[in-house]
Amino acid sequence: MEIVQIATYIFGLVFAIGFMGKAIQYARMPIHLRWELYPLAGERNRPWGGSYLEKAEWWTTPPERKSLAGELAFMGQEVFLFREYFQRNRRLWTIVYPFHIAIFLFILFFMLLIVGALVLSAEIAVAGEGAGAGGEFLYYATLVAGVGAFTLGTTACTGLFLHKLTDPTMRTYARRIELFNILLVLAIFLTGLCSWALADATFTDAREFVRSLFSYKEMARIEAVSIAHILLLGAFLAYLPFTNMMHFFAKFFTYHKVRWDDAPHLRGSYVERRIEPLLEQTVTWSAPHIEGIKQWRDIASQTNEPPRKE
Amino acid sequence: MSRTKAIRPSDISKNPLDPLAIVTGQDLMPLPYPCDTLNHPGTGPLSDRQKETYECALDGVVAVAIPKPRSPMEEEALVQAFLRGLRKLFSKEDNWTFLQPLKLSMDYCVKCQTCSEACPVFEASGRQEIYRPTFRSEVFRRIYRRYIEGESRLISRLKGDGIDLNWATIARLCESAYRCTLCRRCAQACPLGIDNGLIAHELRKLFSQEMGLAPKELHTKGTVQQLTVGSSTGMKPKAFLNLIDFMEEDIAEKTGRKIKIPVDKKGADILLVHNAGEFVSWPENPAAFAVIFEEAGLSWTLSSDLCGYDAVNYGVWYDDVQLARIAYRHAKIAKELGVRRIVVGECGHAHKALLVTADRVLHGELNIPRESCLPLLEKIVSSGVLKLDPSRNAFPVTLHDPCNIVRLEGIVEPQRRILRRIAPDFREMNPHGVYNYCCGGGGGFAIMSGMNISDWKLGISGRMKVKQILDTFKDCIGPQTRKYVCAPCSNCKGQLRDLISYYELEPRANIHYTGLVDLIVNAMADTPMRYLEPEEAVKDTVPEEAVASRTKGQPTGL
Repeated sequence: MEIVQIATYIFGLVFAIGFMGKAIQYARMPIHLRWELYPLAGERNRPWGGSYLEKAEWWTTPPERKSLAGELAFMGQEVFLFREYFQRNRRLWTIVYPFHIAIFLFILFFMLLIVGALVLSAEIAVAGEGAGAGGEFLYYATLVAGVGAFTLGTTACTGLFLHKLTDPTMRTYARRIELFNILLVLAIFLTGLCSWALADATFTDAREFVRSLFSYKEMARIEAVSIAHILLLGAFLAYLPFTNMMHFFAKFFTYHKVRWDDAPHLRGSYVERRIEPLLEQTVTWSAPHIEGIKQWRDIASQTNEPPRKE
Repeated sequence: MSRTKAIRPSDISKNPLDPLAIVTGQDLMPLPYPCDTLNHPGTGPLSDRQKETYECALDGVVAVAIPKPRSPMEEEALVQAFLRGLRKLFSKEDNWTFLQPLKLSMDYCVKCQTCSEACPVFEASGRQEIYRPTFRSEVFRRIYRRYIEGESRLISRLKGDGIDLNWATIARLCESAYRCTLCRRCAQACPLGIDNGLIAHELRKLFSQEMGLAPKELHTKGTVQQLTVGSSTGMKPKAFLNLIDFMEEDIAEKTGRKIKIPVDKKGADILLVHNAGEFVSWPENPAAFAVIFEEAGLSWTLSSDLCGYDAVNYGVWYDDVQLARIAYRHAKIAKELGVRRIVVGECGHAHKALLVTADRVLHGELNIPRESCLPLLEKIVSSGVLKLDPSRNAFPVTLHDPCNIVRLEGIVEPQRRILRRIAPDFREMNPHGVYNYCCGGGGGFAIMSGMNISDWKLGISGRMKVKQILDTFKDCIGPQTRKYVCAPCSNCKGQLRDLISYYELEPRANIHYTGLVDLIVNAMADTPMRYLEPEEAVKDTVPEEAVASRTKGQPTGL
């Protein structure tokens, strides 16, 4: 097994651990106080942005079910069309939308390589001619997705980098690390483009490399530019969970767990069960008006007393 | 001339004596006719003594009144206190209340600046960099990465995070947390769901809960006074009961009804809680509630207990402990009275505190059902129990959406359905509903007036609302037509009152403000007098062309 393969396994493992670690970290955070923002995408009957609180004596009727279809429709437009950017920040949309489309194409390209590798392992040919309909489709789809991703990605990344440098507001807030991150992604797309143009016009080597990862066998010889692309991509994946480029992941929580939370605290509900132990937690804030409170529960017992010190 | 220059987040730690920016009149967003000729100076200067005593190096404005440290040692002690608070803000024990949303907003902003144009403060100030929603957040993020994420100074510098954590940084950051109305329009605009309003809120908490720094109107004269005296207005139970007597007389005079307002009635169905500012400044509002509730035959009561006659909860803006204390107190009063539900009157932040933010701290027997007055009022109005004559409200009326009730709580249509029934010339602002602009008094500003913060809240944070109001009434802007802005929120009404005076909207455009129940009672056909400033309201007429040109019953939206 060659060092490129070993490095790829390690990078993949670091990515998986990092990603899971972040997911667990956020999922295990305590339930928070409510902090919704309306409109809610899942609100079936109130397209104007209303909530269950528009009903008189809302607690006397069963809780309303949220519309999963509404939430998926909203998220679908967000993920695939970047609707909010389109509506509110059109100039930036013209850059970040193609940039993200390039990333989606790259993910598609990678998945097609995996499928291709599995097909090859089953001793079915993947080629432009004489490989059967499935093999030919895989061949051309991989080609289109890969070339599309690399070309669009290189262009959009360059545009984003220049925008960060030339737009006065962007420049004011751009940190060096963020510029580095864009350059890193640019390098991945650019090496991919070079690899295709100079060394692997049919992505056969790429497919064989992915196959070697599954078979744990020695890989076929690949060109230096392709190795550079693989290592850059692997390093990027290992680094990704520890950066703000994980915002796609954060969006699940910011929308579903904060903006669209909308879960009233009913007696006997799961909210009550999750809040109860939190009231036993220690309070160490030390401003004068908090003196005397050791646990959150103590606040309830102080309702008849003035604060001890002002 | 504006002293605004290209300001970077790292500038916050530099030149501790010089304000980062001073907003002048020329910087401000232009207003339409008839306020286009007004010549406001921007934020007024502080006296020399105030400058010597308080930190004012953010923008020459004082909201928190942070005393200047007297020695480098004192400065260092304050920096250390800030760092202690910072660690607590990111701990599961001390800040379970908001840890998850805060962490998300700290870690994943990509600084696309989409939020900037959503912020009325940033826009109205002439796009001052220090008021950009991401400015404060970016400063705080850089400190967070260094001291909570544990980045070394070298890595921090290499990443481009350089901010020196000195007293100037902290003092400016503290004041900066009070240059946001917490309207959360920026969060609504964020494609990623990042919440710069929450970051301002959490900073306020850090300063209050660890360092004891908060504007006196919110803390000493706000929550502390409410918990000890009974009301943030300073009103004691006896004074409250006297006001009730006065209200009963006023109701009899204005409506011909002899009503005994129920107070501390055990076993009533409803405990109605009002912002005590209503009793003091606008007693006609709680009186209108009394008229409507009695006419509808509801079983209800007010409370004369400490805090029971004041629904406000300023803790919602700056301190979770104070928030919980007051919410517990409200719930306990309801429990002792044995009511079935608490109904919150026309007070936006009290809605937010009692119905939403404190929802998860009220447990067991204290988890008494709570609801807004708006759906209940809609139910009463639509039931036909009140004899309503919309022609009595025959003047142009627009609705201001209190952020706390609408964007942050999703109560959007009940108040509109009422207005469509009782006000023939009801017209929407643009934008409205959940996309509304804050009145500029949110986050506590409506009740803050010390030193020169009034210049800021009226000249800058309330400016967008004035523009909206003028645009809404542009077809009848002349002083010959009396016009009303309906604001079902005490603090919004307070801010509108001050805006109307500051921008001379009454003499220039005959614009007034009112609550929703006031308009309902004004429309009651069987009252001998108009409820809403009767001697003038009688003269009102709606320009027919204005009514005809407007589509009625439009759904709420952008």
